[in-house]
Amino acid sequence: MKNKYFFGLLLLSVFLISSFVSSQEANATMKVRANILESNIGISVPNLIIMGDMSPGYLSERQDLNITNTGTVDLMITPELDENYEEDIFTHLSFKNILDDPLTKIGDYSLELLKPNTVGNTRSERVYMYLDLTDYSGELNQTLTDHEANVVFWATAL
Amino acid sequence: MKIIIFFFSFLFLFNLVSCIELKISPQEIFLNGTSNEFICENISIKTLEESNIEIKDRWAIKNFQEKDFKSHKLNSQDLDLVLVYNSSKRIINQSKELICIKAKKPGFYHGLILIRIKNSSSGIGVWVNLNISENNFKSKITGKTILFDNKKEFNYINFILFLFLLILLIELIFYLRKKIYS
Repeated sequence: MKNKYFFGLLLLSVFLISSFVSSQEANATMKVRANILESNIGISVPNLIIMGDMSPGYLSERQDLNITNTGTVDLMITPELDENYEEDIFTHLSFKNILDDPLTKIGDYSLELLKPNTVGNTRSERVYMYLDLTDYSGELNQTLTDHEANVVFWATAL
Repeated sequence: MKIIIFFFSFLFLFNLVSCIELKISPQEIFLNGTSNEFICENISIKTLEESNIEIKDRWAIKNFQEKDFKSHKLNSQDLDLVLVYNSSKRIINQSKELICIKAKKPGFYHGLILIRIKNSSSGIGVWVNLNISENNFKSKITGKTILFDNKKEFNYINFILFLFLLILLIELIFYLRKKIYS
């Protein structure tokens, strides 16, 4: 008699546990997991462009620059001459996005560079740079060999 | 000899191109506070290799709100702002820089924190939105303090019930085993 009683209790507990487990399974939800990386700004620009021989009254050869967005946000790129540059020559640096565009002087020029299509990738944009000394009015009494200036391409989020 | 001359002329046809990489987050910071109070925010800086970083700031005229780089030409002293940060820093791959700002007068200030690797050709600007009020009152109650987590309590009850049933089952198995072998 006692055995039957405990056997009954055993069955009841098995039933309760299985119903509990099944109810848990019924309420179970699918987990979705991903690495959500924080937004960041990244830019990559060539660090030396050689313009070659130039003289007042001339437009330089076209220099093709590849500016790369390595981050995850749309950017506005603004080139700027280093504040320590005191000469006049490189204030005539000019840019255009497509060959049909007119030249825009450094200081007035900026470029929109969209974010890469997928995370981890990069997106590059080609920019055309010239040294436009066609309207250079300064006096140049001697040859400036290896004359150079630092240009900084500042990237800010759009 | 001709080959060597050709090789060197070929090399000089190309611009010397090497790239420097810098990553910054966040892209924009929003700071709210009261006048004469320092408000701080961390900026994360990542580089591919060990680098010397330069940091500076620029501001637009008071109450200007557009993200226009060329309109940000003022320095902090022009607007009576006090900024505290390391203007140059050596970092190894990754670092966080704490930027603290104090404004003496209330109003809205829009600025840029400009970060670049020393002597590099690219830099990154983080927009700063600084909103300064005169009111010193601050609420001490946050949403988190009064949040009641129902989900956690429900799981806890389920777990207790499951343990109770499991113990009962083990007890019964032991009892039956004892009965059968006795």
